[in-house]
Amino acid sequence: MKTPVCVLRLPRGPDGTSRGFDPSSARYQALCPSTISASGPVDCVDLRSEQRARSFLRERYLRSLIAMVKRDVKFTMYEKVKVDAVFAGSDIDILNFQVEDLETPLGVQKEALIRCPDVICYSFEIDSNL
Amino acid sequence: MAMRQTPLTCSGHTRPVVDLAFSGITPYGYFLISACKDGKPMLRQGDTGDWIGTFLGHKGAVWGATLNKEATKAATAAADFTAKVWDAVTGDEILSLAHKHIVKSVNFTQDSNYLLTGGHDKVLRIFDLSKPEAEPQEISGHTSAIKKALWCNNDKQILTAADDKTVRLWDRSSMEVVKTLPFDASVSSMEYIPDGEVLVISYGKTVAFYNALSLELIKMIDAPASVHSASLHPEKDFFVVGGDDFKLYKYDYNTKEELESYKGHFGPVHCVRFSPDGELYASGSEDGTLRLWQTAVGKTYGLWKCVLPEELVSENSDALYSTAPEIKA
Repeated sequence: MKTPVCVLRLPRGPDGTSRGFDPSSARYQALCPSTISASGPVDCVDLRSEQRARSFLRERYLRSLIAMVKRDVKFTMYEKVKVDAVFAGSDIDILNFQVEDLETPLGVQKEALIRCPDVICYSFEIDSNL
Repeated sequence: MAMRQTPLTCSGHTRPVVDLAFSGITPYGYFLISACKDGKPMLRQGDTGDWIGTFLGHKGAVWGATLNKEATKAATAAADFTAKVWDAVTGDEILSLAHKHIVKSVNFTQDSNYLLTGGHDKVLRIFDLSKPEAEPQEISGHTSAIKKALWCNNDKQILTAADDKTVRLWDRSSMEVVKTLPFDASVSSMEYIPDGEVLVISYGKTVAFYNALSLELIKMIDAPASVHSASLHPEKDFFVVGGDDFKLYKYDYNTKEELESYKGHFGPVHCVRFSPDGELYASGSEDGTLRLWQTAVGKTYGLWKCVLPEELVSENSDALYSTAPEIKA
């Protein structure tokens, strides 16, 4: 009768909480020295100016979110969904938007969370005074 | 003393695993990517099967997946009509390439600069990854859905297998067909071994080996069941076959003799591939799992440990355990 081969342990499976790609792993540390990967071939000068551009754009986007609070926003989403709501805030990763008075075919939802990956685009009007 | 194979089961997918691919050997070992109908392809450490990460973004079943040699980039082909290119270190989506129908196959060139795609719209596309906004080069000619498209002959030629029961060899620069191989049954899998220019094709119950440049038949064998996938060992000592009967078969490539067969999967085996060092092979099944199998059963490698019978009963063996072959993770 043959003896089965011994194993040290079973292969580790997904942890269920994140999508993985541990930033503290040796490979990640070695291959991604900066926390944000550059969009093209990198040299020192390019990276600095790219980082500057990224910071500028991010700050502008965050300010746009602030400007959007309490305003009417029109969301265009997948499955041909177009809804109106009043923007209340975003989570830190820009994965969910908190909205109020969401107009849906089933009625107006007083408070709701919209999943950002489901949104194709959104628009709102800025005060001309600002 | 003969030992019984203990496959390592990698869980995590929730639907059938339809494709898998290994990277080359990198300073951090080698890696494995699996394509699954649940739309969430996963990256694993190749020698242990440990999960590294899941590529999130596809909105449909993922039919094909591949890694570049250095395992720094991944590409996937999906039923959401896109092929996506991913950073295989961070897991981020780098590019989403729109197609007109289900995409089935993706393949990087050796330098990772170009991506070849093929699918249900019957058109081969070559994307220049350094110019993602540019239109891809398109090569038409197949009259039915393309199942697999691979670069060959130093990326100068392309091999395709389609639902029209043919395998075609194309020249990249002229974009013309150089040779066509007709088959009696639909080609279920195709593997290209650059070292030695060997093409492994499975169709019906047959596994056939061809010269990849001339498309001349080298040898063929008939398996006990319908073959879904076959893979040749890098040193060309063995080849493994996965089929409809849920089993894996291991053959001697030189003598064509069936050496072993293994039960373990709970569904048809859709894909099977040898690791780049030939020490193990991975199989993906309808049952939603990947299993890793040793080429040399009993050898110490990865998570497998060679243990002499005396050690099993000694006090030093509490870190090891002897398991029945059909363990579930």
